[in-house]
Amino acid sequence: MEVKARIPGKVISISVKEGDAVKTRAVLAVMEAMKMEQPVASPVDGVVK
Amino acid sequence: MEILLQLFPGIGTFFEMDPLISIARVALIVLGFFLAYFGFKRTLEPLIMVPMGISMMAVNAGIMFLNSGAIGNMFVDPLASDAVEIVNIMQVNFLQPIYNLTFSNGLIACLVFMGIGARSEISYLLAKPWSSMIIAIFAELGTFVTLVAGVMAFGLPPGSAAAVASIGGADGPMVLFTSLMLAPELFVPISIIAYLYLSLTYGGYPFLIKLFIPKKYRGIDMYVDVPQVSQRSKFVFIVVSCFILCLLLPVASPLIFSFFIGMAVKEAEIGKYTELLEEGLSYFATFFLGVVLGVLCEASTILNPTVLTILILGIMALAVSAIGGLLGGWVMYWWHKHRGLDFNPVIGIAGVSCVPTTAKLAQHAAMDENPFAMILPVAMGANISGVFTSAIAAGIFVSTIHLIG
Repeated sequence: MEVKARIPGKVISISVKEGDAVKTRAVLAVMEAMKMEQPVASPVDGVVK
Repeated sequence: MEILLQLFPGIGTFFEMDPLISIARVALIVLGFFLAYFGFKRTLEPLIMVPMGISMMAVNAGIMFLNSGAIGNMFVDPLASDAVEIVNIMQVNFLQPIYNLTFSNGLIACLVFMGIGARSEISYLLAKPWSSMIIAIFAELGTFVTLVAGVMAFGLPPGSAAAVASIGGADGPMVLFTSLMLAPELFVPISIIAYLYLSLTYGGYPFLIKLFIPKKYRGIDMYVDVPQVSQRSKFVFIVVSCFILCLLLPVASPLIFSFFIGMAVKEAEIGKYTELLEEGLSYFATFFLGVVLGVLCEASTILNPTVLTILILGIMALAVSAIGGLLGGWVMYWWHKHRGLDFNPVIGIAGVSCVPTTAKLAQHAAMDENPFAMILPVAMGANISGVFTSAIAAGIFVSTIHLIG
Protein backbone atom coordinates (compact mmCIF):
# COMPACT_ATOMS: atom_id res chain seq x y z
CA MET A 1 0.00 0.00 0.00
CA GLU A 2 1.03 3.56 -0.51
CA VAL A 3 2.18 5.56 2.48
CA LYS A 4 1.46 9.22 1.84
CA ALA A 5 2.94 12.27 3.49
CA ARG A 6 0.43 13.80 5.86
CA ILE A 7 1.58 17.36 5.31
CA PRO A 8 3.65 19.04 2.58
CA GLY A 9 7.27 19.19 3.67
CA LYS A 10 10.82 17.93 3.11
CA VAL A 11 12.00 14.38 3.54
CA ILE A 12 15.12 14.60 5.63
CA SER A 13 15.96 10.95 6.13
CA ILE A 14 14.81 7.50 5.01
CA SER A 15 15.49 4.64 7.36
CA VAL A 16 14.46 1.66 5.23
CA LYS A 17 15.39 0.23 1.83
CA GLU A 18 13.68 -1.93 -0.77
CA GLY A 19 12.95 -5.39 0.52
CA ASP A 20 12.98 -4.50 4.21
CA ALA A 21 10.31 -6.10 6.33
CA VAL A 22 8.54 -3.60 8.56
CA LYS A 23 6.00 -3.88 11.32
CA THR A 24 3.07 -1.57 12.02
CA ARG A 25 4.20 1.82 13.32
CA ALA A 26 7.82 1.25 12.27
CA VAL A 27 9.45 4.53 11.28
CA LEU A 28 10.03 4.58 7.53
CA ALA A 29 11.31 8.10 7.09
CA VAL A 30 11.53 11.46 8.80
CA MET A 31 9.99 14.56 7.28
CA GLU A 32 10.33 18.18 8.15
CA ALA A 33 7.45 20.63 7.85
CA MET A 34 7.24 24.10 9.34
CA LYS A 35 10.52 23.53 11.17
CA MET A 36 9.17 20.47 12.99
CA GLU A 37 10.36 16.92 12.47
CA GLN A 38 7.71 14.33 11.79
CA PRO A 39 8.21 10.56 11.67
CA VAL A 40 6.44 8.78 8.81
CA ALA A 41 5.24 5.43 10.13
CA SER A 42 4.09 2.28 8.47
CA PRO A 43 0.36 1.61 9.01
CA VAL A 44 0.68 -2.12 8.44
CA ASP A 45 3.12 -5.02 8.65
CA GLY A 46 4.74 -5.59 5.31
CA VAL A 47 7.66 -5.41 2.96
CA VAL A 48 9.09 -2.20 1.49
CA LYS A 49 8.85 -2.08 -2.30
CA MET B 1 31.62 68.17 39.04
CA GLU B 2 29.09 70.42 37.30
CA ILE B 3 31.27 70.43 34.22
CA LEU B 4 31.49 66.65 34.20
CA LEU B 5 27.71 66.38 34.30
CA GLN B 6 27.44 68.83 31.41
CA LEU B 7 30.02 66.89 29.42
CA PHE B 8 28.20 63.59 29.90
CA PRO B 9 24.55 64.55 29.62
CA GLY B 10 23.41 60.95 29.70
CA ILE B 11 24.50 60.87 33.32
CA GLY B 12 23.87 64.56 34.01
CA THR B 13 20.21 64.29 33.11
CA PHE B 14 19.71 61.71 35.85
CA PHE B 15 20.12 64.49 38.36
CA GLU B 16 17.88 66.94 36.59
CA MET B 17 14.89 64.67 36.31
CA ASP B 18 12.18 63.79 38.75
CA PRO B 19 13.65 60.97 40.89
CA LEU B 20 10.77 58.68 40.02
CA ILE B 21 11.45 59.10 36.34
CA SER B 22 15.16 58.51 36.88
CA ILE B 23 14.40 55.23 38.63
CA ALA B 24 12.03 54.24 35.83
CA ARG B 25 14.80 55.08 33.37
CA VAL B 26 17.21 52.72 35.08
CA ALA B 27 14.53 50.04 35.28
CA LEU B 28 13.86 50.36 31.56
CA ILE B 29 17.54 50.14 30.71
CA VAL B 30 17.74 46.92 32.70
CA LEU B 31 14.51 45.66 31.15
CA GLY B 32 15.92 46.45 27.71
CA PHE B 33 18.99 44.34 28.48
CA PHE B 34 16.85 41.44 29.65
CA LEU B 35 14.51 41.54 26.67
CA ALA B 36 17.40 41.64 24.23
CA TYR B 37 19.17 38.85 26.07
CA PHE B 38 16.11 36.60 26.24
CA GLY B 39 15.51 37.32 22.57
CA PHE B 40 19.08 36.22 21.94
CA LYS B 41 18.52 33.02 23.91
CA ARG B 42 15.28 32.43 22.00
CA THR B 43 13.25 32.34 25.21
CA LEU B 44 11.30 35.27 23.81
CA GLU B 45 10.67 35.99 20.15
CA PRO B 46 14.01 37.27 18.86
CA LEU B 47 12.60 39.05 15.80
CA ILE B 48 10.91 41.62 18.02
CA MET B 49 12.73 41.40 21.32
CA VAL B 50 16.30 41.91 20.14
CA PRO B 51 15.63 45.22 18.36
CA MET B 52 13.13 46.31 20.98
CA GLY B 53 15.37 45.52 23.94
CA ILE B 54 18.41 47.23 22.52
CA SER B 55 16.53 50.34 21.44
CA MET B 56 14.73 50.51 24.80
CA MET B 57 18.06 50.42 26.54
CA ALA B 58 19.66 52.92 24.17
CA VAL B 59 16.89 55.51 24.30
CA ASN B 60 16.86 55.50 28.09
CA ALA B 61 20.61 55.73 28.32
CA GLY B 62 21.06 58.42 25.68
CA ILE B 63 19.01 61.19 27.22
CA MET B 64 20.35 64.69 26.90
CA PHE B 65 19.65 68.39 27.39
CA LEU B 66 17.93 69.70 24.30
CA ASN B 67 18.44 73.22 22.95
CA SER B 68 15.18 74.42 24.40
CA GLY B 69 16.40 73.42 27.88
CA ALA B 70 14.06 70.45 27.99
CA ILE B 71 15.26 66.90 28.39
CA GLY B 72 14.88 64.45 25.55
CA ASN B 73 16.59 62.20 23.06
CA MET B 74 17.67 62.17 19.43
CA PHE B 75 15.61 59.15 18.48
CA VAL B 76 12.03 60.27 18.37
CA ASP B 77 9.69 62.77 19.95
CA PRO B 78 6.29 61.07 20.04
CA LEU B 79 4.62 64.19 21.41
CA ALA B 80 5.40 66.45 18.47
CA SER B 81 2.04 67.34 17.02
CA ASP B 82 2.22 70.66 15.26
CA ALA B 83 2.81 70.08 11.56
CA VAL B 84 5.73 72.51 11.31
CA GLU B 85 7.22 71.08 14.50
CA ILE B 86 6.99 67.56 13.08
CA VAL B 87 8.67 68.45 9.81
CA ASN B 88 11.46 70.21 11.69
CA ILE B 89 11.98 67.34 14.08
CA MET B 90 11.99 64.81 11.24
CA GLN B 91 15.20 66.38 10.08
CA VAL B 92 16.81 65.95 13.47
CA ASN B 93 15.55 62.75 15.07
CA PHE B 94 16.49 59.78 12.93
CA LEU B 95 13.49 57.64 13.77
CA GLN B 96 10.96 60.45 13.64
CA PRO B 97 10.08 59.86 9.97
CA ILE B 98 9.48 56.19 10.63
CA TYR B 99 7.34 56.98 13.63
CA ASN B 100 5.23 59.68 12.04
CA LEU B 101 4.90 58.10 8.64
CA THR B 102 4.49 54.41 9.44
CA PHE B 103 3.32 54.11 13.01
CA SER B 104 0.63 56.64 13.64
CA ASN B 105 -1.16 55.70 10.46
CA GLY B 106 -0.89 51.95 10.99
CA LEU B 107 1.25 51.38 7.88
CA ILE B 108 3.75 49.31 9.79
CA ALA B 109 1.03 47.07 11.19
CA CYS B 110 -0.33 46.57 7.69
CA LEU B 111 3.10 45.70 6.30
CA VAL B 112 3.60 43.04 8.95
CA PHE B 113 0.16 41.73 8.16
CA MET B 114 0.93 41.50 4.46
CA GLY B 115 3.88 39.32 5.40
CA ILE B 116 1.69 37.08 7.55
CA GLY B 117 -0.84 36.78 4.73
CA ALA B 118 1.88 35.85 2.26
CA ARG B 119 2.83 32.96 4.51
CA SER B 120 -0.67 31.66 5.19
CA GLU B 121 -1.70 28.60 3.25
CA ILE B 122 -5.43 28.80 2.94
CA SER B 123 -5.96 25.19 1.89
CA TYR B 124 -5.42 24.16 5.52
CA LEU B 125 -8.59 26.03 6.29
CA LEU B 126 -10.37 23.91 3.70
CA ALA B 127 -9.49 20.62 5.36
CA LYS B 128 -12.03 21.16 8.10
CA PRO B 129 -13.56 24.60 7.56
CA TRP B 130 -16.41 24.43 10.07
CA SER B 131 -14.33 23.05 12.92
CA SER B 132 -11.64 25.64 12.23
CA MET B 133 -14.04 28.56 12.27
CA ILE B 134 -15.92 27.39 15.36
CA ILE B 135 -12.71 26.89 17.30
CA ALA B 136 -11.51 30.32 16.21
CA ILE B 137 -14.74 31.91 17.41
CA PHE B 138 -14.41 30.19 20.81
CA ALA B 139 -10.82 31.42 20.98
CA GLU B 140 -11.99 35.03 20.75
CA LEU B 141 -13.60 34.60 24.16
CA GLY B 142 -10.70 36.32 25.87
CA THR B 143 -11.21 39.45 23.79
CA PHE B 144 -14.83 39.87 24.79
CA VAL B 145 -14.40 38.89 28.43
CA THR B 146 -11.53 41.35 28.78
CA LEU B 147 -13.55 44.14 27.19
CA VAL B 148 -16.28 43.64 29.77
CA ALA B 149 -13.78 43.24 32.63
CA GLY B 150 -11.93 46.35 31.51
CA VAL B 151 -15.02 48.49 31.57
CA MET B 152 -16.81 47.04 34.58
CA ALA B 153 -14.03 45.92 36.92
CA PHE B 154 -11.29 48.39 36.01
CA GLY B 155 -13.35 51.38 35.01
CA LEU B 156 -11.62 51.92 31.71
CA PRO B 157 -13.37 53.89 28.99
CA PRO B 158 -14.79 51.48 26.36
CA GLY B 159 -12.24 52.52 23.75
CA SER B 160 -9.24 51.76 25.96
CA ALA B 161 -10.81 48.53 27.21
CA ALA B 162 -11.41 47.41 23.63
CA ALA B 163 -7.82 48.24 22.69
CA VAL B 164 -6.45 46.19 25.57
CA ALA B 165 -8.96 43.42 24.90
CA SER B 166 -7.67 43.05 21.36
CA ILE B 167 -4.58 41.46 22.90
CA GLY B 168 -6.80 38.40 23.26
CA GLY B 169 -6.87 38.06 19.51
CA ALA B 170 -3.16 37.28 19.73
CA ASP B 171 -2.39 39.18 16.55
CA GLY B 172 0.30 41.83 16.89
CA PRO B 173 -0.75 44.07 13.99
CA MET B 174 -4.38 43.89 15.06
CA VAL B 175 -3.51 45.13 18.55
CA LEU B 176 -1.43 47.97 17.10
CA PHE B 177 -4.23 48.96 14.81
CA THR B 178 -7.00 48.83 17.40
CA SER B 179 -5.04 50.81 19.96
CA LEU B 180 -4.05 53.42 17.39
CA MET B 181 -7.71 53.92 16.52
CA LEU B 182 -9.34 53.58 19.91
CA ALA B 183 -6.77 54.52 22.55
CA PRO B 184 -3.80 56.30 20.96
CA GLU B 185 -2.54 57.59 24.31
CA LEU B 186 -2.18 54.00 25.52
CA PHE B 187 -0.74 52.76 22.26
CA VAL B 188 2.82 52.40 23.55
CA PRO B 189 2.19 50.39 26.73
CA ILE B 190 -0.47 48.24 25.05
CA SER B 191 1.78 47.29 22.14
CA ILE B 192 4.83 46.55 24.26
CA ILE B 193 2.82 44.43 26.65
CA ALA B 194 1.02 42.70 23.79
CA TYR B 195 4.26 41.67 22.09
CA LEU B 196 5.82 40.67 25.39
CA TYR B 197 2.90 38.43 26.27
CA LEU B 198 2.67 36.98 22.77
CA SER B 199 6.27 35.86 23.15
CA LEU B 200 5.41 34.33 26.50
CA THR B 201 2.53 32.22 25.18
CA TYR B 202 5.12 29.74 24.01
CA GLY B 203 5.97 29.10 27.63
CA GLY B 204 2.55 29.36 29.23
CA TYR B 205 0.21 27.66 26.79
CA PRO B 206 1.58 24.10 27.01
CA PHE B 207 0.76 24.24 30.70
CA LEU B 208 -2.82 25.28 29.94
CA ILE B 209 -3.11 22.47 27.41
CA LYS B 210 -2.02 19.91 30.00
CA LEU B 211 -4.39 21.40 32.54
CA PHE B 212 -7.49 21.19 30.39
CA ILE B 213 -6.88 18.12 28.29
CA PRO B 214 -6.10 14.78 29.92
CA LYS B 215 -3.20 12.74 28.56
CA LYS B 216 -5.17 10.16 26.69
CA TYR B 217 -6.95 12.76 24.57
CA ARG B 218 -3.83 14.65 23.62
CA GLY B 219 -2.41 12.01 21.35
CA ILE B 220 -5.45 11.49 19.15
CA ASP B 221 -4.42 11.27 15.55
CA MET B 222 -6.56 12.59 12.73
CA TYR B 223 -6.52 11.50 9.13
CA VAL B 224 -7.84 14.36 7.09
CA ASP B 225 -7.95 14.86 3.40
CA VAL B 226 -6.56 18.25 2.62
CA PRO B 227 -8.69 18.79 -0.46
CA GLN B 228 -6.76 19.71 -3.54
CA VAL B 229 -8.45 22.98 -4.28
CA SER B 230 -7.38 24.65 -7.49
CA GLN B 231 -5.34 27.79 -7.15
CA ARG B 232 -8.00 29.59 -9.13
CA SER B 233 -10.68 28.74 -6.56
CA LYS B 234 -8.42 29.78 -3.73
CA PHE B 235 -7.55 33.05 -5.41
CA VAL B 236 -11.18 33.87 -6.14
CA PHE B 237 -12.16 32.96 -2.59
CA ILE B 238 -9.49 35.26 -1.21
CA VAL B 239 -10.43 38.22 -3.36
CA VAL B 240 -14.15 37.83 -2.75
CA SER B 241 -13.68 37.47 1.03
CA CYS B 242 -11.56 40.61 1.00
CA PHE B 243 -14.35 42.44 -0.79
CA ILE B 244 -17.05 41.27 1.61
CA LEU B 245 -15.07 42.03 4.75
CA CYS B 246 -13.97 45.46 3.53
CA LEU B 247 -17.56 46.25 2.66
CA LEU B 248 -18.79 45.23 6.10
CA LEU B 249 -15.96 46.71 8.16
CA PRO B 250 -14.48 49.66 6.31
CA VAL B 251 -12.71 50.94 9.40
CA ALA B 252 -10.59 47.81 9.48
CA SER B 253 -10.23 47.63 5.72
CA PRO B 254 -6.52 48.57 5.66
CA LEU B 255 -5.71 45.54 7.78
CA ILE B 256 -8.14 43.29 5.98
CA PHE B 257 -6.80 44.40 2.64
CA SER B 258 -3.18 43.83 3.74
CA PHE B 259 -3.83 40.31 4.94
CA PHE B 260 -5.76 39.26 1.89
CA ILE B 261 -3.42 40.84 -0.58
CA GLY B 262 -0.60 38.88 1.02
CA MET B 263 -2.55 35.66 0.52
CA ALA B 264 -3.63 36.63 -2.98
CA VAL B 265 -0.08 37.35 -4.09
CA LYS B 266 0.93 33.96 -2.75
CA GLU B 267 -1.84 32.10 -4.57
CA ALA B 268 -1.20 33.97 -7.79
CA GLU B 269 2.39 32.81 -7.47
CA ILE B 270 3.79 36.21 -8.33
CA GLY B 271 7.25 35.14 -7.25
CA LYS B 272 8.82 38.56 -6.93
CA TYR B 273 5.93 39.95 -4.94
CA THR B 274 5.74 36.94 -2.66
CA GLU B 275 9.42 37.36 -1.97
CA LEU B 276 8.94 41.06 -1.38
CA LEU B 277 6.10 40.59 1.06
CA GLU B 278 7.29 37.48 2.78
CA GLU B 279 10.84 38.64 3.16
CA GLY B 280 11.82 42.22 2.39
CA LEU B 281 8.79 44.16 3.58
CA SER B 282 7.84 41.83 6.37
CA TYR B 283 11.24 41.79 8.04
CA PHE B 284 11.79 45.49 7.42
CA ALA B 285 8.50 46.20 9.14
CA THR B 286 9.10 43.77 12.00
CA PHE B 287 12.57 45.14 12.60
CA PHE B 288 11.47 48.76 12.72
CA LEU B 289 8.42 47.82 14.72
CA GLY B 290 10.72 46.42 17.38
CA VAL B 291 13.06 49.40 17.21
CA VAL B 292 10.35 52.06 17.38
CA LEU B 293 8.42 50.28 20.13
CA GLY B 294 11.61 50.15 22.18
CA VAL B 295 12.42 53.76 21.48
CA LEU B 296 8.94 54.87 22.55
CA CYS B 297 9.57 53.29 25.95
CA GLU B 298 10.91 56.41 27.51
CA ALA B 299 10.52 56.50 31.26
CA SER B 300 7.87 59.20 31.26
CA THR B 301 5.66 57.42 28.75
CA ILE B 302 5.78 54.22 30.71
CA LEU B 303 4.91 55.71 34.08
CA ASN B 304 1.30 55.87 33.03
CA PRO B 305 -0.82 54.43 35.90
CA THR B 306 -2.88 52.47 33.44
CA VAL B 307 0.13 50.25 32.73
CA LEU B 308 -0.63 47.98 35.64
CA THR B 309 -4.21 47.59 34.45
CA ILE B 310 -2.98 46.71 30.98
CA LEU B 311 -0.57 44.15 32.41
CA ILE B 312 -3.39 42.41 34.23
CA LEU B 313 -6.00 42.65 31.48
CA GLY B 314 -3.51 41.56 28.83
CA ILE B 315 -2.68 38.31 30.53
CA MET B 316 -6.36 37.76 31.26
CA ALA B 317 -7.18 38.22 27.59
CA LEU B 318 -4.63 35.67 26.42
CA ALA B 319 -5.39 33.16 29.16
CA VAL B 320 -9.15 33.29 28.64
CA SER B 321 -8.71 33.07 24.88
CA ALA B 322 -6.63 29.93 25.34
CA ILE B 323 -9.26 28.44 27.61
CA GLY B 324 -11.99 29.43 25.18
CA GLY B 325 -10.09 27.83 22.33
CA LEU B 326 -9.56 24.61 24.27
CA LEU B 327 -13.25 24.62 25.12
CA GLY B 328 -13.94 24.90 21.40
CA GLY B 329 -11.59 21.96 20.92
CA TRP B 330 -13.67 19.92 23.35
CA VAL B 331 -16.90 20.89 21.65
CA MET B 332 -15.46 19.75 18.33
CA TYR B 333 -14.25 16.55 19.96
CA TRP B 334 -17.73 15.64 21.14
CA TRP B 335 -19.34 16.77 17.89
CA HIS B 336 -17.04 14.45 15.96
CA LYS B 337 -17.30 11.57 18.46
CA HIS B 338 -21.03 11.72 17.96
CA ARG B 339 -20.40 10.87 14.35
CA GLY B 340 -17.78 8.22 15.07
CA LEU B 341 -14.92 10.44 13.87
CA ASP B 342 -11.69 11.47 15.54
CA PHE B 343 -10.85 14.95 16.67
CA ASN B 344 -7.98 16.05 18.84
CA PRO B 345 -9.18 18.68 21.36
CA VAL B 346 -5.63 20.10 21.62
CA ILE B 347 -6.30 21.77 18.29
CA GLY B 348 -8.42 24.22 20.26
CA ILE B 349 -5.33 26.14 21.34
CA ALA B 350 -4.50 26.84 17.71
CA GLY B 351 -7.63 28.97 17.51
CA VAL B 352 -5.68 31.64 19.39
CA SER B 353 -4.21 33.09 16.28
CA CYS B 354 -0.53 33.46 17.04
CA VAL B 355 0.42 32.11 13.60
CA PRO B 356 2.09 29.60 13.47
CA THR B 357 3.23 29.36 17.10
CA THR B 358 0.00 28.01 18.57
CA ALA B 359 -0.54 25.51 15.76
CA LYS B 360 2.95 24.14 16.37
CA LEU B 361 2.26 24.07 20.10
CA ALA B 362 -0.78 21.90 19.41
CA GLN B 363 1.28 19.57 17.23
CA HIS B 364 4.02 19.33 19.86
CA ALA B 365 1.49 18.52 22.56
CA ALA B 366 0.00 15.78 20.41
CA MET B 367 3.41 14.40 19.44
CA ASP B 368 4.46 14.22 23.08
CA GLU B 369 1.76 11.62 23.67
CA ASN B 370 1.76 10.03 20.23
CA PRO B 371 4.87 10.55 18.11
CA PHE B 372 3.02 9.68 14.94
CA ALA B 373 0.15 12.11 15.40
CA MET B 374 -0.14 14.67 12.65
CA ILE B 375 -2.71 17.31 13.50
CA LEU B 376 -0.73 20.26 12.14
CA PRO B 377 -2.91 20.78 9.02
CA VAL B 378 -6.11 21.03 11.06
CA ALA B 379 -4.33 23.18 13.65
CA MET B 380 -3.13 25.52 10.91
CA GLY B 381 -6.68 25.75 9.63
CA ALA B 382 -7.82 26.85 13.07
CA ASN B 383 -4.87 29.24 13.28
CA ILE B 384 -5.75 31.00 10.06
CA SER B 385 -9.44 31.15 10.95
CA GLY B 386 -8.25 32.76 14.15
CA VAL B 387 -6.70 35.57 12.15
CA PHE B 388 -10.03 36.16 10.42
CA THR B 389 -11.95 36.21 13.68
CA SER B 390 -9.54 38.63 15.33
CA ALA B 391 -9.72 40.88 12.27
CA ILE B 392 -13.50 40.78 12.42
CA ALA B 393 -13.50 41.43 16.17
CA ALA B 394 -11.10 44.36 15.74
CA GLY B 395 -13.21 45.72 12.92
CA ILE B 396 -16.40 45.44 14.96
CA PHE B 397 -14.77 47.17 17.93
CA VAL B 398 -13.46 50.06 15.92
CA SER B 399 -16.75 50.49 14.08
CA THR B 400 -19.08 50.26 17.04
CA ILE B 401 -17.26 51.31 20.22
CA HIS B 402 -17.75 54.98 19.53
CA LEU B 403 -21.47 54.35 19.62
CA ILE B 404 -21.22 53.27 23.28
CA GLY B 405 -18.48 55.55 24.58
